[in-house]
Amino acid sequence: MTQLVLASTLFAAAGAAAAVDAGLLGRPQERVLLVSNAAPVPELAPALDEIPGCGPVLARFDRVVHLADLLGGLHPHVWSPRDTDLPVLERLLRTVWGLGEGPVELVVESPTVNPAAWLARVLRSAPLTVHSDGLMAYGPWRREPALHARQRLRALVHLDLVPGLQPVTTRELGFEARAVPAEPFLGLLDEMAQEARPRWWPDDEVPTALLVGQYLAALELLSAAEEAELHARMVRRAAAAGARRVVLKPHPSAPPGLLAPVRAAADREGIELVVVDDPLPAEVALVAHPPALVVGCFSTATATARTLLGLPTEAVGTELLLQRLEAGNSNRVPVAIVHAWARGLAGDRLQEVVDAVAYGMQPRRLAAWRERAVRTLTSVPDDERGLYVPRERLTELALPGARGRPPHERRRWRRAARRALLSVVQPLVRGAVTRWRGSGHAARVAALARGAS
Amino acid sequence: MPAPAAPRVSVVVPAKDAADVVADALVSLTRQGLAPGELQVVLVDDGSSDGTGEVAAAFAPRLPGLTVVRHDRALGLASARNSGLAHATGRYVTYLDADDWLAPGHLAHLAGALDALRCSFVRTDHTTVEGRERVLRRAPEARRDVVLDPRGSILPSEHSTMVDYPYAWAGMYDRALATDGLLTFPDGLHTAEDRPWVWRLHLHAHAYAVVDSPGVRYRRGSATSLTQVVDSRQLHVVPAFERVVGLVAADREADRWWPKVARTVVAVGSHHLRRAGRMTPSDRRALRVGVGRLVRSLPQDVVAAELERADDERRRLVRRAVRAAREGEVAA
Repeated sequence: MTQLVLASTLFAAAGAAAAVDAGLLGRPQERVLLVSNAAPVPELAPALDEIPGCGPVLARFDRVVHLADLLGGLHPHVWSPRDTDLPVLERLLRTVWGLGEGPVELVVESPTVNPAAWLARVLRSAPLTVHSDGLMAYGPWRREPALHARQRLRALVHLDLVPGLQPVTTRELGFEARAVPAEPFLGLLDEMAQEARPRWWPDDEVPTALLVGQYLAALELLSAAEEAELHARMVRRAAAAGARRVVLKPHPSAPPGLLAPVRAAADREGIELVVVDDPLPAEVALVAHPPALVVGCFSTATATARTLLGLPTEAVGTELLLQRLEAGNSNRVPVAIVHAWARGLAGDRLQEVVDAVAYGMQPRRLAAWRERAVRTLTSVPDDERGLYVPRERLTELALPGARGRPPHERRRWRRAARRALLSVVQPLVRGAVTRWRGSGHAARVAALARGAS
Repeated sequence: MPAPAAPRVSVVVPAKDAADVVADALVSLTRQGLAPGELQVVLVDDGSSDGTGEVAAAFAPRLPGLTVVRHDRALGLASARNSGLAHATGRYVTYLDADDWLAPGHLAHLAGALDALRCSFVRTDHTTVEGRERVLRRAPEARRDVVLDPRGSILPSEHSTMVDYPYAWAGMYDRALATDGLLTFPDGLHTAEDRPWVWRLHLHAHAYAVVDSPGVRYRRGSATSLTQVVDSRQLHVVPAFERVVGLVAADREADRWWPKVARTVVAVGSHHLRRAGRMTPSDRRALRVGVGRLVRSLPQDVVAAELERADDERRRLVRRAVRAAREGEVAA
């Protein structure tokens, strides 16, 4: 069996590589890494196998092939083949990627999103394993996978960022969750740090905080100004925690305009700001030079720092994000987890909250979870309820924390009210009309009768 | 100490109020497969008021040889490109708009093609990008990677040809062409400045090629692009095409090209006239008279033949313009 592993970021590929080391991705005859560059503008960002430090990750695979060689300038999230072309494409891909004639196994990131979705359509019977690199692993998929994909889902392999927390998808669709333990992943990060030797990390005793940027304005959750202010808040939080220096790793797509307010905040706090422009995942630096503090919004780096490295972390802006995120947005679960952590939730309690958030995101697919969600939301303070599940959604679903009746009930009430009103008013009106007409009515009837004869 | 070798490629980047997008263009220029010293980037800050020049200057460490030319007053795309060309020292020169970007290795590939084919200029396809939607737009010449006579790519008139693909940024040019004025844009033109430019290249340069580049360049779709805006800048389409007419009239094979010119003038003229409802009344009148004069300057038998095969709307718009021009002359 040939195993084809699709990865779009170095961090995702590292997670898959660690899963290989942990024995969680089987022992195929050949393991091929399929590199996809999923940046919003792929031409501007290096592919994962061009980033110094990627060597140890690539070493876990027998070969590397590139989706860009096939798609050229077409964006990997957008191109999709027509159904009629699938068999032709399968023959072509097997040839061009050297997959042979035998069975192929697919390991992909998000099975409902291209290119994973069309790969699953082309390699129609390939068993599907999902590997998920961050906190998103714990939440529901936005779309349900097509039946042909559901039928062959084997496992969800994910970093053990929240030990004990069960992913939603595996319980919803009835397949196995496999958590990658910390040691193989940390070991791999160490190897990557040895190769890349990130030189930008200052090597002295000055207490330093790492700020991890996300570029939320691109997701249209925040304006550029709000995002800049959020980063400035991160600086202030770091200073308050005792950092004398902050290292900011902005998201690669973040515009230059983000930096000025951050610099201003650092100047005001009297602390040094170092801006790092390095495509290497932040986690590699965390392993090489653990900072005194990691500050982020809901970046996976904060979770990795907290859980796998035991570093102090601070989350900034989760409330704002939860208010802005659409009810069904996949980022809701990562933000909710970080938000809940900051409020001291853990273990079963955290699971209950995550499941309630998931129910709010997918009430139809997860209808069986409603009762538990109601119990959980009842036990949560009201202002927090409106964060985990948006107020409109709570109302629509008649959940604890709802404001007024749900829309469909309101419509029914309005119809019933209208009927009741009419049943009282109509007879009164009819009576009045009859009396008003009555005086001339008999005369008119008589006139008609005369005319008819 | 010996003087540093001249760069291999100069890229002229005209930029006006592009602070939010120019970083993409410049980042892409750091990934062109050229050694440091081989690439010269000339960014022309055409009267920006949003800090475009500062954003560009910050790239100096990543783009050795970056030159930022500042116009305190905006002079327009044509003049900005000319200004950039005057500062270019590379053997080959090309253009990149501030809101576009190149795929990795593109410039190295084009420079390599010019080295190998030894022609005056090369042209390439491009991809338009709107959000995540990407569409490949091919240069309308199917013969690739072979040296061609530029004059052989002007006809036929019934189809789009290389003179209908006037994008300066879709190719690379030997800077020697500049000495013959073949790379200069008509100063002060704000529309269609590339039409006379591409016609002159195809009439007067000696050899060119169209090459497939694995790093096809990208063009961002944008609501503010000039093709969407309708204002008095549209009037420049008339002097732009007057130059084309002048170039063809002076050519030894003018008769071969008139049908193509007539076709283009009717098409472009009626396109602008159709949208002229959004212009001020006096601009609209001026456009009508201008297009009419343009049409009247062409051989009338060729115009008649072109109007016969044109659709009703184009015929109506052009005839009305011709009438307006005639009346304008009588009045004057």
